[in-house]
Amino acid sequence: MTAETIKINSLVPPTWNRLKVNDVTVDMPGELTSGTFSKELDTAEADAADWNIETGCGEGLSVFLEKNGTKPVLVKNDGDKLISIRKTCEGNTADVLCFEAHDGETVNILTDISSDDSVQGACVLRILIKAGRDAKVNLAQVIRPGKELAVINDIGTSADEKAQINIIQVFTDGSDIYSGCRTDLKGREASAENRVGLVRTDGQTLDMNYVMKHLAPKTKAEIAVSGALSRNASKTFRGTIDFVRGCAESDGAESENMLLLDDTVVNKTVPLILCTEENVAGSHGATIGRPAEDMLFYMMSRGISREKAVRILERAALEAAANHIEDEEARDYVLGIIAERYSYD
Amino acid sequence: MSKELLNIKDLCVRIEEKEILKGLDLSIGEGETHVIMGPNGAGKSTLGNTLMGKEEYQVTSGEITFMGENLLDLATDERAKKGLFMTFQNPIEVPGVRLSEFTRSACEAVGNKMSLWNFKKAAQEQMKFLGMDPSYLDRELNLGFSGGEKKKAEIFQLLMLKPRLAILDETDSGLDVDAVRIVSEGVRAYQEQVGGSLLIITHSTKILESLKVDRVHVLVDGKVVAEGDESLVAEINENGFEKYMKA
Repeated sequence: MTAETIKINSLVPPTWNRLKVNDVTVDMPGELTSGTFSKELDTAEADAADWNIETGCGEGLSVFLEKNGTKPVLVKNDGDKLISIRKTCEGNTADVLCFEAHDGETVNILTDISSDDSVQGACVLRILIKAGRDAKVNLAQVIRPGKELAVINDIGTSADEKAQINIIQVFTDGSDIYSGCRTDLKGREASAENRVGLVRTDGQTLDMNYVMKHLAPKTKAEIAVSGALSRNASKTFRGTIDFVRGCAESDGAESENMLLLDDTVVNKTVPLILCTEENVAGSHGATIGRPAEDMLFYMMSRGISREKAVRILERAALEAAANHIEDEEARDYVLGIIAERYSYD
Repeated sequence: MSKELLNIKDLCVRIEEKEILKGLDLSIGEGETHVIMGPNGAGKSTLGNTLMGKEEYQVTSGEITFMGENLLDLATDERAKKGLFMTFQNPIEVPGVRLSEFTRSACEAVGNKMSLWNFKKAAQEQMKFLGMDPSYLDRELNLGFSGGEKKKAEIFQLLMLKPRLAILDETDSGLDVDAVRIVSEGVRAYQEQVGGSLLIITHSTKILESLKVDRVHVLVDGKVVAEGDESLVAEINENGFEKYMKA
């Protein structure tokens, strides 16, 4: 397989081209092999036809993975014990992991993707989740790549009646990250939450496409993004709440709270509410692009250096998301990583 | 007069194209309490922000020395490390950062290091003294605090950091009578416990009632137009700034 450029994170429907937010192109290297995880997972073959779930990154990545021959793998549950997946990337890898919470089950998942600064290439992780009736899936993710590795993190989920899917993601500084996440709320009273804490600095990019699709009545969804940008970093967040006809009395909200730590950063936000059902409540907003200069001055007036003040604010942005991780073991693990990486003592 | 701590000579400051301070002179000795009074727009807060080194305040001429050192060469955090402190008129909210960890980081930054145990003990004592619920220590800095609690949190930091010179920028504004009394007691505790100097910027006189004041300066249109002892406060309280504005 030869290297190629793929188009992912497409906005549906597209907006003006000149805004350059309709999608993003990513240069993919040649063949991507299956990655290795720190602990052997209890897996089984997954039938691709059973896992035809739409994802945030979308068709462009699906076609690439198919050409690459990447097969979906079902990761088995062990009761409500945390499924901990740690992947230290050492080159070009691609994995598709599937998780299923059957009716009434709770599944807790933690993924940690990291790499050394010297590792180049691309790391693709696609996660597909099915949550049955009254089931609950808590997914906590931390992505902390080195300086040269591009990470594509793609999620697709499907929630049946009264199912809950909570996804908390922490993206530390490091190389470029492309993140997609789509949740189909298929069953009545299904609910979903996506919380993202992010830090980008030194010219790094984060490109996000998050979609909450309300397909049944009384469904509820929230997307909340918080983070800090500095030193020529850029971030694009596409957040779509899609109320499909028949999803009456559904409620969808998205918010963003970004700290812009200097005037070299680019912060693009595309909040989108699509609606073909009348009786719904959708909202987006909050403090997008809050200038942090007053905050930095306040902290410096107490003797804290500018660098340390930035570090404190970056850590706070990540912790704001991580504190929402429900599973205690996963939460402590992610908070530990944040504390270590953003230590300011 | 006590040993000179802060000296400001012929200070001119502008924000963008507008000149705010127009040749201000001021000298504060160690342990002294000075009050800057003046009508709205006189340049009082500009003086405080300039002393702390806020970027948009451009010093176009004049000099400021602190303990004999040129303050204008120093960044804001370096000024704080030298012993300068300012309570903010509108304290900034910092989401995700707890008051306790922020204050501990600040104490360490200014060289007032304590073990975690000693810090907690000292912090709880000061909280109690200021009539604040100790649970505020675990709350995000100034987030959801009432106006009075924000001002008390500023005085809490003042008592914990123990600076050489504290600039109080309209600390009493927007406070009810009880809150002014508590804040005033906190400031008096700073005078007594730390023996530091104070530059109190205010256009009211409530906060001064229980404090020993050494010198009062009246600031109008970017210049000190009158100076005097404590009695000047009472005079302004009675007659306002009108006669100084006409001068």
